[in-house]
Amino acid sequence: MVRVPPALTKLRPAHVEAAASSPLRSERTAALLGMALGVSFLTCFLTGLMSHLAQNPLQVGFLSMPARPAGLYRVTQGVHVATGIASIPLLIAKLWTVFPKLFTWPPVRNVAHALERLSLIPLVAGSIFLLYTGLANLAHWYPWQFSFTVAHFWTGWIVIGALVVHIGAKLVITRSVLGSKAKAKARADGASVVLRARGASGGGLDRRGFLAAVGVAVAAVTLTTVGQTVRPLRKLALFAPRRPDIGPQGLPVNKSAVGARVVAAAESGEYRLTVRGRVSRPLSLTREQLLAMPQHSADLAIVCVEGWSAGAVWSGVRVRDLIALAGGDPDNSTAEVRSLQRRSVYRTSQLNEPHVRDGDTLLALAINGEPLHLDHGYPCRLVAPNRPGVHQTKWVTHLEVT
Amino acid sequence: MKPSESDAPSGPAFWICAAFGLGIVAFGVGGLLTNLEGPALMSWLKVFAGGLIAHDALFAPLVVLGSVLLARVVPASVRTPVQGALIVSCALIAVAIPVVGGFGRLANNLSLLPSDHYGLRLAGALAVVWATAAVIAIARLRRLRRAAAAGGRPA
Repeated sequence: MVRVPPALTKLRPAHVEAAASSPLRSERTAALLGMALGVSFLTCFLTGLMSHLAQNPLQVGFLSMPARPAGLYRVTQGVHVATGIASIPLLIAKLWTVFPKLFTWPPVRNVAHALERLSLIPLVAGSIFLLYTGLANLAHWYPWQFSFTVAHFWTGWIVIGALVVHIGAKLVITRSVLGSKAKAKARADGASVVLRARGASGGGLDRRGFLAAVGVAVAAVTLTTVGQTVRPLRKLALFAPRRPDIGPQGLPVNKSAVGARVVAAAESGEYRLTVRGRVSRPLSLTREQLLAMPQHSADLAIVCVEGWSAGAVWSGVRVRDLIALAGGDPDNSTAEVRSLQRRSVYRTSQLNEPHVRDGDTLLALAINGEPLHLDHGYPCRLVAPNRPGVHQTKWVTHLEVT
Repeated sequence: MKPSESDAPSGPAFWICAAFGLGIVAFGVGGLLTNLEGPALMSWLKVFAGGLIAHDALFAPLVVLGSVLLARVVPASVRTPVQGALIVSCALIAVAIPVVGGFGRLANNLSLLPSDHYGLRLAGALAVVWATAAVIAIARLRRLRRAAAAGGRPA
């Protein structure tokens, strides 16, 4: 028989697990944090799906976004980003509570156990991926070579799938540690822990204190970022990459005219807005001719996928009036809006029937009574209710009615 | 946390969830494979695996090491507020990294990252957290001292 030196036996995973153990790392703490994360991830997933549908308005049939309520996307996208940010401390805490389990010995007990442990790879790696890429995207930081929206969307499916496996694996234990009997026991344990702690002059956070600290962390990151969309909290938005009142004409900009390389074309006397497609009298109008048409005002917010939003009063020409003027049918048409931009994924955007029909869907010429700033889309931009900002196309030069 | 029998899942509910969940995972992987090509896919894999490695091999062991140090260095009487402040600080730092780094800053768009002082803001927020922890710690010490004095007095 080979004798193992005592020092070496201490390197066994069980010892690592013991070294990292803490009374705070109970099944109950893990289950409570898991429930919170389950709710936040499901919220992110559903609002994310909604955003995906909003970005592809002509390719999703009956799921296409309605034009009303006007502020729907503002709420769902605000919730998506705020919930994602709130998940960061929750995920760090959850991974901390279960970290020693990584060294469980034996590593695999049976097929079910192996499957459950393997599913943790897409779950944990995917969760970190989603929160990291989402947070970086808010600040326009792209240290990677893939399309953010594509990768974030499909990885979301991977994480939700792995989460379903995980929930299936943890159903029994969650019920046993969060059930009414367990609750009573935890309360009794908690009381004795507090008593012991007071007697021994405090040995650090107890379970409740730990959860409270995580709660404070969630509140802290939320309060210091959510002001990017909740205007009254804007002064607290210390770590938000935007403030709803800072930008040209008091409104933030996602892509500037210089960044989009449209300055010369936008300021040129050659500028025309053309309306073609399924119309009987194609139009070609100067900005002055647009200003001579009946003007309509709408109080609408620009809502960025990045979680900021800012409202303004826009005025300009109704898209439905333009289609009617060109001899089209504004009640049964869709349209493609094209920008002066040469190269951009967001050079064009689609208007579905509800959006074409809506009286607040404008080709705006002014913002809060002033002519549009170049960065806001001068000579004219699309503004419509319940629509992601990247589809509120700026520097519009063509409307193709379909 | 002791490994228990419940670590190995079982029962029809688990297998139904596993089948359904793995189906969704496969759908997501399929979507990535059809929508990302070559270098983009490699880049995805790097970030995906990189996050996991950064957490499991770097961050988590550092936290374990930190906790051991904390237990040795910080007196038990004030350990609670120190741990609480560390947790909140970690969360704030994680969320502030992209804006403090200012990696996405653009010269042609001043409304993006409109402040020049994100680092100062982070320092300020951390100062508030630690000042609160200090107030709580002082209150605890006073209470303990008073309790000890009351206990030491002859009846």
